[in-house]
Amino acid sequence: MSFSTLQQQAQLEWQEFERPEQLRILIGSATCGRAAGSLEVMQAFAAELDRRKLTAATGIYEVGCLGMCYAEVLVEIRSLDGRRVLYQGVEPKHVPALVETHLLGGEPYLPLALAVMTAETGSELPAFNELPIIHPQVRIVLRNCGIIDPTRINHYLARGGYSGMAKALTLTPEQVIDEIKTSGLRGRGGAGFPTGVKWGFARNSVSDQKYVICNADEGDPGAFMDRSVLEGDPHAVLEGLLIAGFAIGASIGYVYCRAEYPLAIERLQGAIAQMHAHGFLGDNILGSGFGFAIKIKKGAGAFVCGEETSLMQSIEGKRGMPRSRPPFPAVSGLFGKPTNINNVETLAAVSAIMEKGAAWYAGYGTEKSRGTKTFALAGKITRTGLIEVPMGISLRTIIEDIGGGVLGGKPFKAVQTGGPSGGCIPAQFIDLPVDYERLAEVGSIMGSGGMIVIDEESCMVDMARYFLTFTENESCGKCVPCRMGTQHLLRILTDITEGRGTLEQLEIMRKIGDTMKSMSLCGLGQTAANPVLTTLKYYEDEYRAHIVDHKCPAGACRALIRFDINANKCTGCQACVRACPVEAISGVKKKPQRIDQDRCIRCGSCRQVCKFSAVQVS
Amino acid sequence: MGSISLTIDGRTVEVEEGKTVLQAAREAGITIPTICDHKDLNPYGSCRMCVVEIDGVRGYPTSCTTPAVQGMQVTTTSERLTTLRNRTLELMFSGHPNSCLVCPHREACEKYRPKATKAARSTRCGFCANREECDLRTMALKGGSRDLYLPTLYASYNLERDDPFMDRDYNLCVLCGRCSRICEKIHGKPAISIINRGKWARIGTAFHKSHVHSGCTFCGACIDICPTGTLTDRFARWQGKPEAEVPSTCIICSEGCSVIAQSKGGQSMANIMTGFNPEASLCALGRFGYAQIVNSSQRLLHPLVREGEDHIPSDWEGAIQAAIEGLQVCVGATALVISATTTREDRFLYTQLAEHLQATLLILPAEAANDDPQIREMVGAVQQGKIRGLLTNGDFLSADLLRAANFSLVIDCLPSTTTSLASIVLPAAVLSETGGTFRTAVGTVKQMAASSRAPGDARPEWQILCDLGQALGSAAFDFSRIEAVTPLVSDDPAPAAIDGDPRQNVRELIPRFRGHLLADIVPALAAFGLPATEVAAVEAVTGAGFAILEKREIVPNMHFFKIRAPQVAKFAQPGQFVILMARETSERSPFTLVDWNGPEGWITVVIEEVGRSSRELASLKAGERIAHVSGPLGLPFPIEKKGTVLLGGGCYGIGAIFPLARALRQAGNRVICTIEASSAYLLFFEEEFRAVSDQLILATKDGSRGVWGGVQEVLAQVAQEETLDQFIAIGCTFMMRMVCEASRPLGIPTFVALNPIMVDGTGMCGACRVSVGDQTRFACIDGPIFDGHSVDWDELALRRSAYAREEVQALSQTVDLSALIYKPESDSCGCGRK
Amino acid sequence: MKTTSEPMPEQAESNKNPVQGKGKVKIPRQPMPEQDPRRRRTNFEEVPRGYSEEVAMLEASRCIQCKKPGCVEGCPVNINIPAFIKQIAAGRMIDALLKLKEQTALPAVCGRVCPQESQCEARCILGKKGEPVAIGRLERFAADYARKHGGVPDPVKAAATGKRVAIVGAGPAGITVAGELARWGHEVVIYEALHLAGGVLMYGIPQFRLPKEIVQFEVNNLKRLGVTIHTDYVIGKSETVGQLMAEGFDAVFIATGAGLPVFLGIPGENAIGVFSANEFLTRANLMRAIDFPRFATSPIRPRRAITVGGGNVAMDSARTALRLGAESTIVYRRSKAEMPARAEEVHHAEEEGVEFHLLTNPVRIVTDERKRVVGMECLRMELGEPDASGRRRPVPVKGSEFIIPADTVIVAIGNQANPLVPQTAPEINTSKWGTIITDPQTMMTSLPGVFAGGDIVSGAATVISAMGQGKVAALAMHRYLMGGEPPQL
Repeated sequence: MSFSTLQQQAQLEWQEFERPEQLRILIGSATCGRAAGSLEVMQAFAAELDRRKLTAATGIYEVGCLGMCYAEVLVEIRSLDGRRVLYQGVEPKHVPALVETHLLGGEPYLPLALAVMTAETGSELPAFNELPIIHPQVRIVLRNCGIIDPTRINHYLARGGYSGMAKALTLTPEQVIDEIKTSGLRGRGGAGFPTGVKWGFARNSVSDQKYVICNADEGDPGAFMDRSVLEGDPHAVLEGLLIAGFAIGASIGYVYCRAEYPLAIERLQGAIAQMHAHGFLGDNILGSGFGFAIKIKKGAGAFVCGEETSLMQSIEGKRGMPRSRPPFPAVSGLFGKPTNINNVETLAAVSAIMEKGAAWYAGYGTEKSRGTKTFALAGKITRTGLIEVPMGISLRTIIEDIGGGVLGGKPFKAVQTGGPSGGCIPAQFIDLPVDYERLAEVGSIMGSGGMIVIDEESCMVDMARYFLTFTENESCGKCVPCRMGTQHLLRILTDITEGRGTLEQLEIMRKIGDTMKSMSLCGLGQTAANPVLTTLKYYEDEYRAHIVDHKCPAGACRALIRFDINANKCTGCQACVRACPVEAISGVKKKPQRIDQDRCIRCGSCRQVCKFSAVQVS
Repeated sequence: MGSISLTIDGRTVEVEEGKTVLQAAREAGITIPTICDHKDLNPYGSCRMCVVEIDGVRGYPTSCTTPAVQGMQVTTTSERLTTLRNRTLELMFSGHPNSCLVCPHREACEKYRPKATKAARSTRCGFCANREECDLRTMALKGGSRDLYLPTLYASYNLERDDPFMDRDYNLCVLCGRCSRICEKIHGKPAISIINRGKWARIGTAFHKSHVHSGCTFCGACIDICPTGTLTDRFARWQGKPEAEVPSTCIICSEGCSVIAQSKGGQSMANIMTGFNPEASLCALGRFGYAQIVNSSQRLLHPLVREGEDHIPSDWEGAIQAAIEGLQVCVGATALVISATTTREDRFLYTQLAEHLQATLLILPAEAANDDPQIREMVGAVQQGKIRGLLTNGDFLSADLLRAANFSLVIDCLPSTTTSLASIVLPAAVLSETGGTFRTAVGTVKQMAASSRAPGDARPEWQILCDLGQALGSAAFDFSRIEAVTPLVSDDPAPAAIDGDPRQNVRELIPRFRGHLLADIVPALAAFGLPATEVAAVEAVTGAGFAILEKREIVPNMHFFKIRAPQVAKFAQPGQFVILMARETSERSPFTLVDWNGPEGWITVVIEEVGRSSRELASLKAGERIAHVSGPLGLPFPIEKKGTVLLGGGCYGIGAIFPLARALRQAGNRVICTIEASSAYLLFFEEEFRAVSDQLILATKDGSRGVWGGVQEVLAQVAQEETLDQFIAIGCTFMMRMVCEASRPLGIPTFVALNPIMVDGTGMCGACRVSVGDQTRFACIDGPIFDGHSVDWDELALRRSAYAREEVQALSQTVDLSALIYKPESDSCGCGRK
Repeated sequence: MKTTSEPMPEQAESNKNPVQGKGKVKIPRQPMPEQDPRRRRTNFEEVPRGYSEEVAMLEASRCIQCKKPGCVEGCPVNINIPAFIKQIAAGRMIDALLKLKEQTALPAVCGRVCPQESQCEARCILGKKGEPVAIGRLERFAADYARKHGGVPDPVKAAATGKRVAIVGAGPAGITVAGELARWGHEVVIYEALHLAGGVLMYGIPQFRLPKEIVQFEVNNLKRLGVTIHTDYVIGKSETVGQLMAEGFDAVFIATGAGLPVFLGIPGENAIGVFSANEFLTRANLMRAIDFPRFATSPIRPRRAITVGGGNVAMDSARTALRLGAESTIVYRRSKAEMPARAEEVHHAEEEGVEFHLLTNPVRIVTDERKRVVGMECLRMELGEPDASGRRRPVPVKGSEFIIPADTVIVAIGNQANPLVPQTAPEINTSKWGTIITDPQTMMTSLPGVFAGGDIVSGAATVISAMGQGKVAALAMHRYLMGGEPPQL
């Protein structure tokens, strides 16, 4: 079957799916949705439809993630009149009303309605694309997430999928590489090395066997960009992998995906099977003479296996530990053969670039950082979630417009980017355009796209300690600076947060950090001190407050704080009494309450629940 | 490959293409410090010490992993590099017990260096087994200052002694990965690798299996390549450095592996590989069994000549004469049954002898036993009287066969049924005691070297055969050197190859050496399933022993025991000790009582694992029984109200001062306790001491906790602040000596609990006698606590080391098979974290 | 009980002996087969191999069954020697043993280690003209025969008296008392400080002279009699003797022996390589260092060993050293005639190649810089006037110093009383040598109900004298406990 025939078939299926006069329920059921209860919601819909004998008439689809974590479970309902409304925060208890009001009644169920998916005039609801969280975004990597049913290759095909591959196969590998070079795409795994150049290295290595690897070992705590793409649009990644294989002359591609992503692996497996069925894998793809196979390798979840040399060791069946470069993977990689490794996001962008052209892609972003970047917004921000924005967008736009500002309207203090290898960017840089160069200038990194918003109640020392706890744990142990350095840093940070720090320790941390940066074997160790070094750079006063005054200005370090109830503000509602896990709060109803300091474990629960800001930290 | 030139520190260096910068620097005579690098290993880059600056290359690449490139400009020393290296070294030493570098007593220690009085002493006081040979220490001393500023973050692993031949102290490991890399290089699939991550990262086996179950073949390469004292050969570790290393060949089996024979004082220490590669690898027998066979306490020492029922030890002349008389009678009716594990020269001479005697010659394969088919065929001939004389060099002939023969001559190294029934037994020098050549199963001829002395009157076989041949009147045996025989040997057949590959699979070790069961000679081999002769069970004379109520390893090497012993508990007083025997075969070893409860009938002791007996104790678990507990012994310390008392404890002495502190405080004294260890992770009983002292001062030799130093530093400090009326110190001899020297000028009455060797503990043997003042006192009944200023410390230290050699030997014979049975741990997933 | 003075009914039948009258005298004393000295110096097997049945009967037939047997008087425990020999002569070996057992708890031991030549055999009438009957060898034969062949009926016990007796020390004296008192119906508990019962029989006398199986066999016999043995129990450190009495024992017998080695008091004595005979022998025997490495205790393996002393312990030490591979020398300050050791032991030692330096007195132990023994400086002696013991006193020859090279010196010049018990029992009077003073008739100490015997009373002596004291003490204790004579069994 020719590629165009396949496309036509796909179009038919897609049109059927999109046909307006159809009852459809689309439930965001990626891992994030499932964690919020999407499967239960789906069951509730199924039961409700069954009760109303609508099962046959209504299609229920699991779709990928739209990125609006704060709003999960997200359900899109399409009624016979063609109205498509996105609902947020759906729980099973809402299902009868949703079915009754919208599916059957055709009217949006307003209490949960978030947006209309189609541009509708005169609707009382905002259009999806006009939502503040969506509007500034440019969704290239996430182009299909939440839109298509990821288990159907035809959905992907119909949305232009695999046409990039088809196009690439008509070109020479060198032309493909040139196209990628022209697009300005840089590796989205963190380092930001130009993808086309990297491919060129591997292309130029002469060998009987080469490999391409998709690095899907997303290991940063809090990062889930890759997972969302794999779950919501696996073909976009696999197509990119195939194109990369073609470009460098590899016949085998690996997807190295952590075993903690079972849904992603399931989707990948399904997608690979469909690719075989469509002739997109095999000895002679689309008659081009190019043969390619894809294997999935499950990783055990070591952070260091995201480092490319460790990852290759792991695929080879060895303990995942980095090795020194040179030789670079492009010369001697997996099983000693030339190997190219790209991150999930990079590959998803590749398929789009090949489809729509380098110039289109290069049209986004800044001069040196082209295209778009996905970020996982987390921390003290109103709208947490997964976003994709053009490079060069300001931090302010991301935080204030997309993210809806700091949670509870509190003052913005800093944003931590780049995960445990990254650094903190203080509030004074809120107008910083986000690209590789500018982030580096202020001491942080793009990384894989973690972005944690920090407000005044977050302690920077504690934050650094948190990341060091992670890296200390994840250091593979091979090289001395990383193994011992992380331990020392963590110990000192713990000392400081517990009031045992000394000013000399600040200097020691700088020295160790410098040593780790200069002497560590791999990126993990070289960057592990970043959270410490940047917070030390911008927030030394906070460190000093811990050490000299034995105070945590943010009120976060438990050993240094106490909670008291301001009698003037306390209404005696006793919400805090109910929230306290250790029965440390007592008092008469409607009178100010008291905290027993001996019992108090400084968990802060009372402060969180108090609606009157009566709980004070000192 | 062509050569390239590069510039290192301004010097142009020509090297072969493909070499690393480090290799290039070395060729140019430029030293760059390294630990993880080894000439037999691929570049690894974990220690980061070999960093350099290269023009045009970002950062500080490691020279060991960076290929030299034409025109490269390399700088190996700069202020920045020195800083980075020193900081990295400091980081490394913050994870490796470093008291050997920083201890304030290191000078005194050099002077009064405590000898390895016990075999297994490992981490105490930084006296690791490799102290003199530690590459890490050498590098540190060469490289820079001994001052380390970072706090220590040592690991705290229990010592691993669950295999037959190695002691592993991962507290000393710096994760250079040499061991796992050499294991992988030699065996392909390594038995060990780095396991766990972060601060739990360490070397280990998959799923925490014992080494016996991990696929380890016990080739010993990991020990030989370890740069620290982490991995050591239990048999050779306390013998120190070898005096001689000679290339030779292991001839235990027909593989004929090349070895480097290490020896000291004429005694074989170990065989190590000639080079770290698969071709040169050794099996467990070659690496560990060899020296134990040669050094076996069972070796035949004298020629024996049968007179009636008796074997009479004889001189060689008489024995040869008697042998000749026996052989001459059997000319034409003799069979020679010879093991293939002999030199070519020996076999040549056996052949000559067989010809001269018109005898049948059977050459048996290396693993042959007495049911070898060739021997079975012979039975008929002997029964029919066709063969009347037998000559053999091992334990191959059945008792029936020997009884049926008129005359039998055995030339062998170890006693056996065969020797017990033989007419004449001639003791042979074997293995490393003899030179010559060996033809391997694949036909290669290899050279052997006589690297150790034969025990007693034993002589090499070639010499015995020459004596016999000459005495038989043959001219073909006139050789005075084995080298003279070698040229005559030609066309000798290669011996039969052995079944299996013991170098790859420890379960395929050959079970016999010259027909003797190897596990009888090297008991530890039973761990691999090698058969052994059953030894008669030791007669249990007494009752059921003493129940262990509680047992744990409080710090590495230090075991806490709570034992049910009502008669001791009822009468114990501070300062007294007990004698323990783990099993009926154990030594009687004294241990100071730490605590007791008369009504509940228990006592507690802290046992430092240092030798065979304490290891036997340490291998016991709660619920099991100690064969004997005898006590309380010794004089109680007089507990009086003196005023302010300082008590100092080190190592096992930390436990020992506990009851004294408690009693002295109850008596109304102000009690200051100080406990010392080489490092913070080896301190124990802190909580316990807080409860029984007015003040507790900690001291560590590496400064990782409390006062930097030991009890004497604390003494000096406390004496400045207050008047001390009494001072008691208990610890190793070195420590007690040092504190007494410190307290003497201060005029503080000082008491120490001496720890000499004891046997009975009741005054009977006198082994524990010590010179105190001008008197000889018995520590067991006059002590153990004496006036520290009157003790003759030199004498005590020397007397304690009297059995060092035997203790080393004893330990190699200890094998706790129960520890070798792999049991999965239920409360752990195997990742090392609970 | 049959006392020694009573004539044995069997004696009347002595005429039935197959070899009669003067013929007996013609039969020579039967030698006992022995391991060849050249062989035995390399092993720890027992030296004399014992009589066969035929030889034993032949030797037994030499006994002329005197009416007034001097041998019985010579025996510290008054064994009815003619009676047991008669049973052997008649081939009734088990009966012979039962006869022995009436007077001795340890015939297999006594037969081996008693100095018969100065006791029973010295009084044998045959010895006046020729060679005495080999009483010791016959005793050993009877005991070994019964042990090997079994068939020994369980010992007869009297009805329980309800009296409890504690015995401190499971050596020859303690075992003897325990055996006697248990048979007489008393409840006996033995407290032994070491981990094995047997005392000097276990730790002191080497395997090649007294196989340890024999000692354990005898100890087990005691247990069969109902005696409780607590090993690892150090009286004096746990209970004192006074506390034992307070805890309900009706009588206590102290038999803690002479376990405190005497050293020479010469320079260099604490050097490495100088051992008390006790340590040397205890390691080899009790701790079985001779089975090292199967047993964990390290053996002392001398190359050149000097043993100082002339008693049995010195012979044992020198011969043990020899067997452990040494060139073994004995240094004794008097002449051979004065040697207190059994003649047989001296003979055996000489046979095995132990060198004797007689009339030689050590003056200094020579050491190297590491305080290891390299030799012993000695002075030649000559015999002067007899001293208090009747032996001629050795006098040094001036300027006769010489050095004997050695790496090991074993001091076997005797033992003092072990102080553990006396130290903690102030009510018990002791001599200036630390021995316990007892009433020679009753063996009772100054503390009523507390008896003592063996080396703790007599100072270092022989196994049999300790047993003899045990016999006396047992009888006295029974009288003390019951106010009458022991039952006839």
